[in-house]
Amino acid sequence: MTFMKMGFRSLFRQRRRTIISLVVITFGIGCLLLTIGHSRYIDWGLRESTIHSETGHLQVFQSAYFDRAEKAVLEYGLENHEQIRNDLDRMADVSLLLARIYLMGLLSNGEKSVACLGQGVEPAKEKRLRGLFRMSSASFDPFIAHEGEAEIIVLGKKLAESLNAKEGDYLTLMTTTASGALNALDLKMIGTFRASSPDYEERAVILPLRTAQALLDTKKVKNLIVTLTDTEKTDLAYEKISELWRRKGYPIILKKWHERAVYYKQVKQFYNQITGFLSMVLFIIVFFSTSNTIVMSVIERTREIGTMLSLGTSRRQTLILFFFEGTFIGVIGGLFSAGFAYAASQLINSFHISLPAPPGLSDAYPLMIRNDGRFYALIFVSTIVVASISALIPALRATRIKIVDALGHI
Amino acid sequence: MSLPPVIRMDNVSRHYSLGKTDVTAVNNVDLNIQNGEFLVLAGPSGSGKTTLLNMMGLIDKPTSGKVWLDGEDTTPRSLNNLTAYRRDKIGYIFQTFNLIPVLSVYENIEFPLILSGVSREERRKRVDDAMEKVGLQNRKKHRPRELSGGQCQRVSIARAIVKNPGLILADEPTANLDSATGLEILGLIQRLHEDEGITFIFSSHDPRIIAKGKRVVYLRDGTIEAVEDK
Repeated sequence: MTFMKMGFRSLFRQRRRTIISLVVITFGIGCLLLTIGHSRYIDWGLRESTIHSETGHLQVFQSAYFDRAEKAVLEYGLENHEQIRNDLDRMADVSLLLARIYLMGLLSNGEKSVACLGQGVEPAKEKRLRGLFRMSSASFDPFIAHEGEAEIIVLGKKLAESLNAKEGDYLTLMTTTASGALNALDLKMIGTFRASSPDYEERAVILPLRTAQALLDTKKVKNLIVTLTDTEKTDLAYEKISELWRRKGYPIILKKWHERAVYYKQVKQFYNQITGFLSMVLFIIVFFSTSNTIVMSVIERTREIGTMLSLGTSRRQTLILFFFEGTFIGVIGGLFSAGFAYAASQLINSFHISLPAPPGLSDAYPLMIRNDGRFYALIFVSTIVVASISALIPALRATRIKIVDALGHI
Repeated sequence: MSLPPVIRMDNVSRHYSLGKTDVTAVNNVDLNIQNGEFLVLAGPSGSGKTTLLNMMGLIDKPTSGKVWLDGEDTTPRSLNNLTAYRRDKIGYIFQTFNLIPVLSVYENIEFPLILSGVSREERRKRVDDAMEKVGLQNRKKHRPRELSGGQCQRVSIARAIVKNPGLILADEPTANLDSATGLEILGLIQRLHEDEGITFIFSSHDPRIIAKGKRVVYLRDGTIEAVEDK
């Protein structure tokens, strides 16, 4: 206790040096917390946007879908999807169910044909899916406006420009049916949409699910998208639904959202790498900053160390004294860092700053910080550990001082 | 059966290397110091007083010869292994007081007792007693920087006596004080010696201080030049 008290009080002997150390730690670790907070926001945002635009929380496929390659379109699509929907609709945590079909075809205005990627969707449900996360759902508005019409299509904006197509124009979409025959439908263009990727916007079309089924001449869908009331319930819902279908003997397979989100995983890994590297650099700075403070402290207090040793202080107690000094720098620096990062995050979030669109994407994204208590705790503890360890080397040096030399030190 | 000397030095020498030069600070000193003595090591600067005192206090080791403390040969032990001896048996009074600046007067005096593992209640009693003996009862919470030189040396004396050591070593304890304060401090040391029977060994080159010693060991060039018993 006495050595702890002495360690703490010693921090205030050379206030300027201690303040400089604390400022370095506060800014360094504070910025690290902000970086982590921003990555957490990107992770959370990307996760939720992936779930609420692409993957849902769970996806239902026919069991053979991942085992064999399809020889024909929707060969391993879901046939009994209505029955599965009925079962899922009764589950408390399920907020939304929707089916999708993906197809490839050739879209023509009579003069020019362009290969395209089509998505057969249930527009009202797709809009609701995105609405849960307040995402832009403008792509589906034209379908809502033309409710009741079947042979309609919405084009990616760049694709529409490429075909010089305008609302009301008829375009022919040709594709191969589920049985392998060629089929085509004349579809009225009712609108355009913007996609996050310009490349995708040049190729993408959306059409109602039943129109896609008619074009492919099938009742099947590729998969069912299941959205839950909360992402945290994914594992629990997965277990419940799997158990239900094991009992009923459906030949289906269930996938969690992250198993289907390749892009999300890549982005998350990228941010983890950046954060990891930054953490390493900043903790090295903390290490040397604290170490320097303790080294200077040992040099200045050589005579005092000699006095303490001559009074019967053991080498171990001397080590503990300087170790505590490092620990206190870590504790105070860690607390200041957390306070700084929290205040800065509130300020940044209140400004609603937008960052320019990254390469390959067309939308700007917000500079937001998502604070996470677990990371604050982890970084706080890490700061203390690094500061304490950094004090060990100078502390060991203090324990090796010769008493006689130390007492004569000026 | 008579008690062994508190300190016994057998043919003790201490050499230092200064670059390529070998310096002899203490040369073949034989000295016995009995319990309850009030002994002065006298001599000019460089005569070996501090080196001899350091070896008696077990903070330095002789190059050759043996140093016995309370009948035990300390020479085979390393300085690290002598920590407990320094902590429990020897009190130090330094020329420059050497108080710990971050501790209050009370805490400075209490510090050796904490090292010895004395209970809180016992510590309080002994620190209060030591403070009373040196006349610093009303300076408990002051930090060393708030005290005069004489007061600092009183704290240093209290710190030395609080653990009831058999031996107190003082290296020129009045050298950093004005002559009036120096005599006052010396008077305090003398009174403690007489009242408590503590063995005091101190070094000085001040004739007024040397005159107070009951036995004076005169050193010159690292050897004992003369011993005067009063």
